[in-house]
Amino acid sequence: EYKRFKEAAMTFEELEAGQSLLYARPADPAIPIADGPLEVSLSALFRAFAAVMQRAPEARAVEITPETINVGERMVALLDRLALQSPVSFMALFEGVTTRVQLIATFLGLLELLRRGLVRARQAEPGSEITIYRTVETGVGADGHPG
Amino acid sequence: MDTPADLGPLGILEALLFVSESPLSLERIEELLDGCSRAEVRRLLVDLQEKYGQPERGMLLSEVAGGYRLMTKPEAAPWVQRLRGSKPTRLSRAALETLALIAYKQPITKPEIEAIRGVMVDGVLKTLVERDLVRILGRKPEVGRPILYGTSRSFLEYFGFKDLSELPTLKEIEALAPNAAGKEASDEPVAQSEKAE
Repeated sequence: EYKRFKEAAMTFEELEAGQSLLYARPADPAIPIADGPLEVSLSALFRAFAAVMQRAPEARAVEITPETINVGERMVALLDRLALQSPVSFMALFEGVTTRVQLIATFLGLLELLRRGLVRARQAEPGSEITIYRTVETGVGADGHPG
Repeated sequence: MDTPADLGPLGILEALLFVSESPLSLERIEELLDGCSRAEVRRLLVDLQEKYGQPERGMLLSEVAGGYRLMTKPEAAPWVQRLRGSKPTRLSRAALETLALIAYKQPITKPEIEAIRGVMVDGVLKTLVERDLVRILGRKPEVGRPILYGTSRSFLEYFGFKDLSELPTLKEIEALAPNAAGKEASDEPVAQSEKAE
């Protein structure tokens, strides 16, 4: 069975070679992908995350753990969390996340979800608590029971 | 909406395609060019395709990932690469094989991919997700709720497919393969994976 996918990969390689000669307009990072206004400034998000990091335990240089960090998994976890409760406070999303690297991965996951418009962040007024709420249902109805 | 009188719908369509970062679907174009029917939009697209088809033009109108987008012609590639200062990075063989597996068997979990490939795919899968060729579709409702992976819209753009139905069937691929021994009659994967030679 695997052999067939090896052959399919060869076909993909040929297509890739052909397509690599065609260039399209690159995505402009200045234009946000998500529709609608950003309801919280990026700097407010970073300040909030800085506060989360301050509470996190110090990274100890002696402790090297082969921990695999996966932003994609963190994104799924965040969406799962928001399926249970939405809106939820920014701080609450980081509860139970213990290591600094995982906190960073979670924050990156959150930024990516915001960029894709899957979640939205709101702040009533400068300095107040940021709330995160989900905007869409998950991709496939893998499990029939909604949160 | 007010548009300059001398700019016809063809010019407007060209402008929209020029600025769009992702392929524009027929529906979206129809919506943007209010007043044009679906059939008129199709005709405009054909007109534009013909105009770009002339050899002195450097661009082409490509139908990809459920929409239309302007791209540079392959003949222009060496100069575009000079402008960009880099050649496109190509996927590794391992990445292509994993991607092919995901494309044909989606939604699929990592353990399922590893069972077929016979190797760990963490690194490759991470690369594919980071390059946005593979996306997370959800979780499989079974023990451990493993993540389900599938191909993304960028995947279609990357390989120039209009949609997933354009993927060559595994049967077609087998027919192309020079020495495809032990052919199976159906497209359906066999339940038990055989040992690779």
